[in-house]
This record gives sequence, structure tokens and C-alpha cells, in this order.
Amino acid sequence: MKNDLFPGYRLPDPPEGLRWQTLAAARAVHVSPTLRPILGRIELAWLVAAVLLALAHVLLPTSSALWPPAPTPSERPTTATGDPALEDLLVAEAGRWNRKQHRRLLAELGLTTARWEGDSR
Amino acid sequence: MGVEKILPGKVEAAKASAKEERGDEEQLAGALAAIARGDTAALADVWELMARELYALALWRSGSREDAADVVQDVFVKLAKLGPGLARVARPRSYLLAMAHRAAVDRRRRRRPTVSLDEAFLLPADGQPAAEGCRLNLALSALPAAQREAVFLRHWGDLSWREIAAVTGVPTFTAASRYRLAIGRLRAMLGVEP
Repeated sequence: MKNDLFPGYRLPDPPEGLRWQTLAAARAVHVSPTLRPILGRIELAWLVAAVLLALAHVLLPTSSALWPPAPTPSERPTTATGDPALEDLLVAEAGRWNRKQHRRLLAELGLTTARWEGDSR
Repeated sequence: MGVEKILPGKVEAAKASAKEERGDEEQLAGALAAIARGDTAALADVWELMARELYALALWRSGSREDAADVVQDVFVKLAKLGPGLARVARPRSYLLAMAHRAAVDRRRRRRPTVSLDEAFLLPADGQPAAEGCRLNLALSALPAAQREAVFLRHWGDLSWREIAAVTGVPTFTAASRYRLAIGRLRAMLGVEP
């Protein structure tokens, strides 16, 4: 450093002990090139998102194929009272009502036959 | 007293001898490259080359010896954290001075400095009267921090206006203006004729 402006004067030196303290602190936080992460935070976030998306594409169709088929009425659990489930009762009643209406229509049209009767039952 | 030498022509003389320090600049670049490669021992080389200048710049900017020591430590910790990133530093000396400038400004924002005679900006060398030194330090302490820093960088750091502007983050004209204002105020306070 030059000193033409203030001849006869010098700059103060750093205090005693600062050298050791500073170098120790710097060495403690030094980032080694081998330990430096290859990816930054943003790149890492993109990579994780891409992996999750790919996994979802693979796993979702596979898992839906593995789901068990819908149970038949007989397999469905009964209610706490032991009666059949309400849905089964409704389906059975709807079927009976449909067959009854079918017979009535055939009778009105004079098309009542044993075959129809037999079929409808 | 040394302050009679406050003349603009002295700056040219300082520039002429600046070439001698180019070797230090190359050594500094080598040390930073070594740190970038993971050689922590090179931190000691950077200390030998730059610690005194960084400490003085921080002292002139912050006005506090305690803050100046913290600034030097901050600079070296940042250097170590940068690691491989230091390989891309083109002008290491200006780079380090800019780091010290920013750290000193940050610390000055946090605390209002108080300058005592123990925290002098300049110390008298052998044969200098103590009273003159006190007067000089009081005049320097009365300067705004930015102007005092400009004097340091121009005179002690031997930087060009453009380099001072880059270090302090201001336009070149502002850097030169700060220096001229500081010299004018020093002349007025010390009773030196222009």
C-alpha cells in the first residue's frame, strides 16, 4: 500500500489473535469441491417432481388393475340386523315390478302365452 | 506535519509505483485458485497479502476497530464458503475489497460507530508528534464514512476511480466526487492551503 498523502503515518495492524481466529473460522466452513452438491436446490426440486410424476404414471394403472372386483349381491355383507342390504332388496323389488308390468302389458295386448308366462316367471 | 503533502500531484506518483503490486495481485489470484481447488492452507496466503488492507478499509469505513475485525472475519468466512466459485474471480484484489466494503456497510447500518483515540485511522510512525496524529485522526473521523473510504481506496489502495466505483457500488463520478470533497474538507480542517 502506498503512503504519499500522509507521510510519517501508518495504518493500524489487525489486532493480535485475529489471524488465528479468522483462519480457524474460515477453515471450519470451507466448502470442498468434492463435497459440493452437483445439483442446486431448484434443480433438485425439478428432479424430485419428475421422479414423482413418473412413479405416478407407472403405479396408478398397476394399482387399479390390482383392485378387487366389485362384490356380487350374495357376497355383500349383511346389515347389523342380519337382513340383506337395502340395495339388494331394491334391486329384487324392481325386478318383480318389471316382470309384473310386463305380464300386464302382454295381457292387455292379448299376447299372453304359456311361453311368455314361463319366460316371465 | 505530513498533511502539507495533500496535493493532487501525489496521486500520479502513486500510480507510477502501482506496477510493483501487480505481483501481489498474481499471488492473490493463485491463492484464490488454490482455495477453489480445496486447499485451505491458501487462506493463510490470502491473509498475508490482504488482511492488513482489508482491516484498514473496514476501519476507515466503519470507524470501529471491533467492527473492522468482524469484517475481516466475515470476508474470510465468505471466501471459504465460496470454495470452487472463487475460480471465476477475475480481479481478486478489487473483489476482496468489495466484499470488505459491503460487510463494513452492513455492520455500520447495525451500529453507530464511536471513534476514540485508541481506534485511530492512522498511527504516527517514528518521530511524529502525537498531537499532530490526534489532529489528523480527528479530522478523518469528522469525514462521512463514504468520503473517508474513498480517500483510503484512492490513496492507500491505489485504485482508479473506476475501480473505486466498482468496489463501492457507485458511479465513477460519485467516487471521484467523494474523494475531492474529502480532500477539500481535510484541507479546511487542517488549515492547509490548496
